[in-house]
Amino acid sequence: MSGGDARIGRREAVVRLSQAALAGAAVAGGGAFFAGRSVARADAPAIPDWRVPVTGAAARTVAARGEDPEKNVQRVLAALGGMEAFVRRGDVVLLKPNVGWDRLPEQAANTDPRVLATLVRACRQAGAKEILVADISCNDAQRCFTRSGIRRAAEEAGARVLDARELRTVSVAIPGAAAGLEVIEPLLRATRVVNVPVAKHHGLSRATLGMKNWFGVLGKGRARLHQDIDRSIAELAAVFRPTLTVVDATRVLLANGPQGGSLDDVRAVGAICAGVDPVLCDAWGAGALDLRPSQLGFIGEAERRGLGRSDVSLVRELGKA
Amino acid sequence: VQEARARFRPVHAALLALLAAALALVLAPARRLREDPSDVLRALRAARGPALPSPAAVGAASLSAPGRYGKDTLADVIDGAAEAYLANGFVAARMAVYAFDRGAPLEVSAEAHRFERPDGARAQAAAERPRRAEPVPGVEGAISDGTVLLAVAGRDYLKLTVVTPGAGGPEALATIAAAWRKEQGP
Repeated sequence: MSGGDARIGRREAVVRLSQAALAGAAVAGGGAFFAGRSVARADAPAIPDWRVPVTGAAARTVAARGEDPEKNVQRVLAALGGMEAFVRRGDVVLLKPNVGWDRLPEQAANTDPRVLATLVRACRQAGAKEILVADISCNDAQRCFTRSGIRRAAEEAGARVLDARELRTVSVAIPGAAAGLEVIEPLLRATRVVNVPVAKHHGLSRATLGMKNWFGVLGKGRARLHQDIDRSIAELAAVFRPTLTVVDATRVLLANGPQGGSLDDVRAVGAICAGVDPVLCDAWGAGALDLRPSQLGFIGEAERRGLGRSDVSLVRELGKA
Repeated sequence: VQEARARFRPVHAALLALLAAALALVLAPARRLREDPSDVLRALRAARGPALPSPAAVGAASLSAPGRYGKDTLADVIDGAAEAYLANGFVAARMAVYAFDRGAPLEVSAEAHRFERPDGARAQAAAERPRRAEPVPGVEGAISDGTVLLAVAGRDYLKLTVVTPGAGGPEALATIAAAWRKEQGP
């Protein structure tokens, strides 16, 4: 190497500057690409599977009709073998209603408080050590839980109610579109989970039932799942495997969902469906909205993934009380 | 003096007339604006985004802290319904709850949405029209079924929902809508 002229020529300067610019662009582009993306931590816990084996001659999915929602719940539970078939003494049970909206029970945007209270009492009688009721509302959490009647009904029945102000979210291992989203912490310590959605219209997915109800356990950023709603709902159903699904069709919001408001959009259906097949429960719920299961894309998606069946003839109808 | 008069020709008069006309063109609108400060207030409010009337303007006891939402956050508060709003050109929203002190509790959830164009606001209102909605007397562009009231003024869309049981709901809806419509201007 000569110790003489260390200057670089114009051409080399241009080449070096271009290389530096390319490297800078690559770094900036990478930063922009990955910015805001949540990455699931390698040590994040998996979501537990809360299902229990169904034994004996008890039906797997049952529906009851009548004006009294409490009786409807009691009848479906009895046909399923009682809450004791699902909840053991000492269990921590988490009930997941839909309490997304600052609406009255009559407006049918949230799970009926009478349905939830009946389930809380059944869990207590089955020997549950702790009964939690939790949801992350879309509207102001305090207003939602008060206006819907859920807080009062659940607490009087013996549950501990946790709204968004009291819930901590934690990282978990979730695959698919929801990867990186956090979930409410009580899910991880619950030994049994009962999904208690209300059947109602939804502007994007046409209906919101049990599988869509899992949106309410997700933390910030869940709105991104709307991009491919049917696939996202089916993916959530593959992750969250509840002990029991109880679809509340006491009052059904038929239009302007999910928040609703007009009483003219509400029909008093007076029915409850409960079972261990979440796809079948949603398929039954489609009927409460005057829809066929095949009209709801997420039901087909979930069935194709082997998460359940959509043949509503498999639901044992108990008739009207 | 005679010399000065002799220099003032018709062309000068014409020039003076043109100058006077130009001054009038500039001053007249300015004078009109000075005389109507509500125009200025309305223009300022419009620039700030969608607005809800103050509780005092509607006789309410209180208004919850209004939340502001944009394209990226609308779905956080209305979930999947946001997609239809975005398709109609949603820009921004303001939402709050009015509480009235009329013996029994009376609360009204209020949403003011702004769209890119008036037809977007009209399309959203048409999509959410309650089945038995009727025009609200005295409130231009408003319809209601007694529980829900919808109104459109230009690019803005007002949606009110009574969220307490009991009497007084329809009157409260009409009062809020009238105040909102007045603030929107002609």
